[in-house]
Amino acid sequence: MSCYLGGLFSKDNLWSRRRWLNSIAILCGAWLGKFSDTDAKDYELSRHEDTLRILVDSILPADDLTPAASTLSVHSQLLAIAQRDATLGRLISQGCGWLEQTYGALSALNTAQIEQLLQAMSVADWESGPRVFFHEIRDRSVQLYYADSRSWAGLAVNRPPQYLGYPAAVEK
Amino acid sequence: MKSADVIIIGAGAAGAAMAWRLTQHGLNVLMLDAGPRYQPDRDYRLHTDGWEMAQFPYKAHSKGQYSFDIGASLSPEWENLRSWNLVAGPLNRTRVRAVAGSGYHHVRGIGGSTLHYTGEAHRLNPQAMNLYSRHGVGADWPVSYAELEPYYVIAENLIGVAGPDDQPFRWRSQPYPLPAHPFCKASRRIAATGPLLGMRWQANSRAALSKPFDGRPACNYCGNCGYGCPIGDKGSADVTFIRHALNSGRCLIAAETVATRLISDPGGRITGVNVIENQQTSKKLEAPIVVLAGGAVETPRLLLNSANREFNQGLANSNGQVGRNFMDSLIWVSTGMLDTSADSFQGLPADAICWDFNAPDAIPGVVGGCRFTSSTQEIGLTGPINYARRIVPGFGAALKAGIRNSLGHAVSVSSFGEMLPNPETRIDIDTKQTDAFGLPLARIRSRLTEMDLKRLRFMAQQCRRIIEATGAGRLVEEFGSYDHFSATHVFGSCRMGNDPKSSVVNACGRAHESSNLYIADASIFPSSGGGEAPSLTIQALALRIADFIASNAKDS
Repeated sequence: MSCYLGGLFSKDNLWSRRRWLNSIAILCGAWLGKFSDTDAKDYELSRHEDTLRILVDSILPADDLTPAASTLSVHSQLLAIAQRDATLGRLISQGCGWLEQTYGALSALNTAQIEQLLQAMSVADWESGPRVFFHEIRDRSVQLYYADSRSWAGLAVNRPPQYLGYPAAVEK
Repeated sequence: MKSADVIIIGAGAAGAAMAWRLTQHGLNVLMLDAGPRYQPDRDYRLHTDGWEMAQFPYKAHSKGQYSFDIGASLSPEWENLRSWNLVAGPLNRTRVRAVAGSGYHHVRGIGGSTLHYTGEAHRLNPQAMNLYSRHGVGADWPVSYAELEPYYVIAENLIGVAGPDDQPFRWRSQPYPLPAHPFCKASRRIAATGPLLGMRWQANSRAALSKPFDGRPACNYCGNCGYGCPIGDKGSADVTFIRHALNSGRCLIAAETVATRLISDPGGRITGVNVIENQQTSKKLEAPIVVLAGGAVETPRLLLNSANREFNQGLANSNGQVGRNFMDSLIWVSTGMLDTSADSFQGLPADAICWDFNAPDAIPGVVGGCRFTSSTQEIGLTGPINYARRIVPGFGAALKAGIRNSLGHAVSVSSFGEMLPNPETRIDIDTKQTDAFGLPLARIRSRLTEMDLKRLRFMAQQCRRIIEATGAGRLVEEFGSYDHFSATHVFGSCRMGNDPKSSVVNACGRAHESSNLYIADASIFPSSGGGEAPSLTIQALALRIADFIASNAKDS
């Protein structure tokens, strides 16, 4: 497993080195296998709302021009979709459950720590649970976020293509 | 309308052109389709905030079910033909070819796949119609380009095709009805590479209006033909042939009506069509003539599923040719990122084309041609969602800044190439999988030959050269047929020919084994051409077959 975890040992890190080492072991070991779509255990998605909110806001944070993902209800929409999509529901349950079990409440981590965690997930083995979870949440979040016109400030495409079109496209 | 003179099964490019032409001859037509009706201004979402996520609205029953046998092993020899992008990395991480998305990209509905097509309106290269006699591969067409040419003219004039005066290879008796579209900014960047690479780029011939025509407005260059055109300038079959067929008062359309079986007498004559209406009601329809226009996957499926005591291999299939000679098109797309914006989300998709390698002998070392097209808009790089999902990696502030700084910078070139028939590539029936009505699914079997892969390698290398020559500093995405089966253009599974031993229908589209059964879709193509989009040739052929049907009807 090719986790990039070097940055987790910075001086600003509020966690102890020992705890991070433990978490590395867990990250690399506890969910090393593929995401299991066949786990039939019951899951309660709403209890993961905080974790999911922090995740989507870390993927798509607020800046000077546009709001964070959660302001556009991206996490709520994901949970609503997961109620209808059992595969996504299991993934969120397993992924958020794994994060909460490993790191406790994400709200206790600072921004740099969460970014380092996401970075590690984003470069884990493709078939591993963390990578699948990161990729799927990122993929779905960007769709929901950029489907909302409040996210378009500063973009070259800042309105729907129709009915105005781009007549100037063919002017030299 | 009194009783139908002709039942047409399938309301896509072929069925629509057939219906319109038959009504012009005074015949009454009933046209069935398994899919729904679309209302462009209501169903298409390009005017809404969620336009990019909505893409084309595939309604209930607008997609068929298929099974696939495409699992050829991938070889290290062709590793540089793997598909990938910056966000997802390799798009196929296995050692076998995979089905991309739904695999066979089509629409069931009134208008068929023209509803989501880009709308390229190509005439076939005449040289591609004589592959066997000139190159010893594939099969010759029993119809010449000269015989088709008047029908191309009719189709172009009805659709309102916009094109240039000087397309290579394809002589024409009349100019296009509308002037060609000017290049968008991104295509000007691509065309500028021509002198460097020795390639000639020109305006593509497009079923998109460059001026108002026939009560439809001109294209406003929104760049998203594939998501459904809400203003009606794209020449999809519903706003062209079908609209005029309905205006004749001689055409009835039955949407969401699935043809389940053709009934024949012992002599092969079709005596009825069993259908299921609105997912529940079974009935038998009758007409003197039946025309199949469901495409190169569904048409052979219906024939094979209609086997009976006298024709136990399926109708029109005593020679075992139904389903054989299936072809799709080879495809390669390379995308790079320019340092400066080309506003590449704007403009008419596929507005620029290069035909230099379109002839069957144009690519060194292989038989079968290809063409190159500007494709940034066509592959969906027209908004932030696809940038974020495919070509701008990362997360956090860097992701958002990356989208802002790159939207409009992507530049893509695609190549469509010829695929020659081979014994392992065909349509047959999957006896283990059935649809909601218990009917066996069509199984799409596809294998690429060494020659196909060499052609694909040429296509990929040339696309990369073009992208590099545009000044794009790096590639950000590539996609191709080597590791994915992803078919939009399908052909050949009910070949047209003069020899009843090696073909299913004759040069008039009539089944060798049935006096009142015609096939008008791309399943009758003996060859696919060198990457041409097939819809215009499908329509020209259908118009020609309609004239034979009408002529015979008058005689009888």
